[in-house]
Amino acid sequence: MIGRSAPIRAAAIPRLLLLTGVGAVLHVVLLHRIAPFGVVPGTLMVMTAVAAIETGPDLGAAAGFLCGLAMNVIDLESRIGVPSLLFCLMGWLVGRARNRMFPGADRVPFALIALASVVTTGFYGSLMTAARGFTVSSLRHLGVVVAVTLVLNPLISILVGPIVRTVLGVNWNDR
Amino acid sequence: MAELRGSKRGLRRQPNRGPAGRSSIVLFALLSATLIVVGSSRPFAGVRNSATGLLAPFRAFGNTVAEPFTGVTGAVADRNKLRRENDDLRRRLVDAQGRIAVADDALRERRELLTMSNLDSITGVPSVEARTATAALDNFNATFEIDRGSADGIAVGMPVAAGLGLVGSVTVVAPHASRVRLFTDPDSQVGVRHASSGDVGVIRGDGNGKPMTVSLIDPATDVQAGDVFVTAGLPNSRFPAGLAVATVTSASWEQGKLEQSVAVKPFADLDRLTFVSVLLWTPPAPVPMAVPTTKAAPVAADTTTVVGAPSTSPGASAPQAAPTTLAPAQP
Repeated sequence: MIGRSAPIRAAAIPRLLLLTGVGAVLHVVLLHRIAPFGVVPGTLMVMTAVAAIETGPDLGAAAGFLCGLAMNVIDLESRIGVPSLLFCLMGWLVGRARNRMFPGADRVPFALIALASVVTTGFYGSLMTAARGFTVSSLRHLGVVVAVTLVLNPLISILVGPIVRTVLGVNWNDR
Repeated sequence: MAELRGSKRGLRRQPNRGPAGRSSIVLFALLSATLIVVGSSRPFAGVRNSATGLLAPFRAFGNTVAEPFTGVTGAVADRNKLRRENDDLRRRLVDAQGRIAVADDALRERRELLTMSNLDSITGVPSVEARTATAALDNFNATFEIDRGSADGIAVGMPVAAGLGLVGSVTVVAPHASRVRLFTDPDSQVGVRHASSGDVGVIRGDGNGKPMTVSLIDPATDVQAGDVFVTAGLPNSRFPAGLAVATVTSASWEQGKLEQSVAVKPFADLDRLTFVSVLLWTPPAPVPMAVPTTKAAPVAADTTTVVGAPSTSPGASAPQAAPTTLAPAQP
């Protein structure tokens, strides 16, 4: 429970934990193998974005925080807390943007997922690259990753979207 | 703001809540910032390693399921390439068999010289066979995971090879998994020796699949396409001598330059790694320079950025998991 008016109910926590677990397993077992031009999809990033789109900014931030922790477990070289910070910010912003920009949309707005993926991947990649020193090669690699992510993550959301809705218990008939 | 009428049992979309709605993001951002600060401490690393172990069965399952498909699709896509490679390998096998006979004597002499010079080589270094657990899991590290860890005697900094070709070094170790950084990573440099002439140079990574160059090769050295560079194994080196690192693809020299421009490609096929050997070898402790007036730090002949400082005492890594021994280096 977060604050008096926060809508994150206790019942949401098991679903969010389950979502995180499912996302990690899905990435490790299957989705990391889909790597056009060597670029791995951001499964947990997409799950955060879809969760935020389906449930709003508060649960989006919570989902992002947990998915960031899962990212730390999957990638042993990632700095603990950094993916959580980026993903919870992304979840919160995507949830708010969805409510403002696409209030009545029936379908997941791909444009929003693409935008969120590009910004988050670009920022995360820049942090990682900066930590090791910018070179022409690393900047070129970052550009390729961001460009492929722009297309790949929205496509992945077609697969991930129904899973997120099922795990979170979003009833499609209510849409 | 629109609010979806969600099912009674599931979650439903919440509206934006103005200033009160910022409490959640502030809380999670603060939690994340706290993790960034304290996350590298030992208890958190332990929790992370344990959590990684939970995912290990899923990784293994994914590999088992995906392996046949990978093989089939790869074989269909690369049929002609594989046929050419097969022909080339047959030709090289015949050539190599002849060279082995000649090399045996040279190998014995080399072993004696290394022993006399107190230098390490891969001959006799115990190793642990490991399966590459997954392909790259993220986009910003030239790393991959293997299914062996500290429980098998693996420690940070240990070299990783495929056959006798260098692959990289261990950067992160969990009890039953480790992360390996490829030597082609932009952060890596490897001190190498031209196998034919003995000339010493440095290979710098530029990312997997990207062309690499060898620097410091003397213009007078005869370097031909197909020549092999092996790890130099100089004092303070992070790799033992004799691991094949790269094959020359082209070499040229421009008038007036102090070194040749030598382009190389990795000796090991880094795109098709299924099994690798982790050499249970840690770099010897740097010998401090005996210069009383200055504080010059000893410089390693090759460096690889690692997460966590490796234990560098000689022989610090006793093998624990029935290690196998690498065959002697081919000439």
